[in-house]
Amino acid sequence: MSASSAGVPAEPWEEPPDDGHLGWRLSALLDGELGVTEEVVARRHLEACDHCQEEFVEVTAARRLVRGLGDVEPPEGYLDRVLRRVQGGGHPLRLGVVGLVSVAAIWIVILLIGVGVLLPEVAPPVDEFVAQHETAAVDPDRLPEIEPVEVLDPETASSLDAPYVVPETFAGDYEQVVAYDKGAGVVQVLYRDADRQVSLFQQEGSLDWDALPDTGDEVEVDGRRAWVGAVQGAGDEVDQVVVVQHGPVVYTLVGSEDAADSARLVEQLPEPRGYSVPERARKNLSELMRRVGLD
Amino acid sequence: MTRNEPFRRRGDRKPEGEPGADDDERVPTWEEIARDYGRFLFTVAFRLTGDPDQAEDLVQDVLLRVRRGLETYRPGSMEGWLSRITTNVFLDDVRRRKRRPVDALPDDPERVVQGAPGADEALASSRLPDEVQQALRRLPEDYRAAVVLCDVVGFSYDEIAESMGVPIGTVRSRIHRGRSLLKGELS
Repeated sequence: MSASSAGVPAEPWEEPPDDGHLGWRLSALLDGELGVTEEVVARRHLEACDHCQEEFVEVTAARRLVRGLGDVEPPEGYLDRVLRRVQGGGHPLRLGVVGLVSVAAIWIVILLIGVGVLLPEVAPPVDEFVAQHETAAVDPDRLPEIEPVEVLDPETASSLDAPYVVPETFAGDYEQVVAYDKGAGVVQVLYRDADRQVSLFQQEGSLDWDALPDTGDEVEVDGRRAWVGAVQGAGDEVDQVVVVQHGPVVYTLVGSEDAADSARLVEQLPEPRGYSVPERARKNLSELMRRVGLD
Repeated sequence: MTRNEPFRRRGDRKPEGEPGADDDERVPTWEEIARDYGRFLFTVAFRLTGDPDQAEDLVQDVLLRVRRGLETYRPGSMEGWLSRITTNVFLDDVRRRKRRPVDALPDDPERVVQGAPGADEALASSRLPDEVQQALRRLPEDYRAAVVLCDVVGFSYDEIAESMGVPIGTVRSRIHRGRSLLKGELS
């Protein structure tokens, strides 16, 4: 279809192009888009002009190459994907680098401060705790001599970082004798009433139930899942031990008299100290780093 | 004119047995269009974008427009109608992306590297399709669209002018300049 046949005003062929060569007319000649007169004049010019002949060869080659490209084989499942997306109303969420970073950042913020604290799994060494309780119960000064523990002065004990909490009294009639920072995230507090002593061990973390000795029983105390067992210490004495998860703390109570006494004490466990936002962020970041091996 | 035309020209009737061959007066649904012309759409989209993922996105956008605008379709020129939509969606997207300089391809055709003159047909015919496609992709989008509509879809200059909404003189210039740049890219 020529320009003139379509009713569109033809270029004034009589006016030579600025540089005296055919220019766009070469492509139009190839495409059959010149009028009869235009084509005759163009061919005449082409026969006599080396510059236009060279350009004609070039555009002919380019035209042939594009026309020779042929059909394209769509990727596997293309049509089904497109149909599904159109039926769904538009593009799926396609994330570039910025999008991925944004989503990752949002997740990190949520993990850091939005949904509590990521807790490492902890497995209370029940036998060791029993031995340490017995040692402390006999002589509170003896334990630091044989174990790498630090005796916490009352001021330090009352201001430990969350979630540790060291109340001066426990379960009404138990009074604090001594508190130890045993390292590795373990705090032990020895309490005494008129005729008994108990140790309350605290570990920040999530209880690894599978790591507990199979000599105990899983019971429910005060609505909480608990492990209860009788563990023989160094002598003939057998200590009642209860392990229970309370918030972000795993409590191990050693020294209660029997199951009923254990239940009463567990019901009155101290409430773990709440995390502040910076503490939550710091702990979660630390745990995230540990989990990805960057600690 | 000898050419390896991958598609039927607009207005060609479908061969018997193909969808829509006997019911040209019935306006197909957009799903039928997608299934009957999916390969055609992908080819045009790929020639325009030079990237399979972008081509898929482009086809999707085209079909969204088809779904919205089926009432404007007049039976008999489906490939022409689809090609116009595809080109317009492509150029609209290019203009949007050009507002973000990092995505923009060169506007100035002179910035496209020119090769040495003198390429002959033998040299041209030795080019692999991927090389040609890559060279096509490096053309400024307006030039590329004109070349694709002319040499891939098989539109006349008038049809290209109508599709792109530009004067026919602009079409002539873009096609010729596009081919010259393409040859330069491949030299």
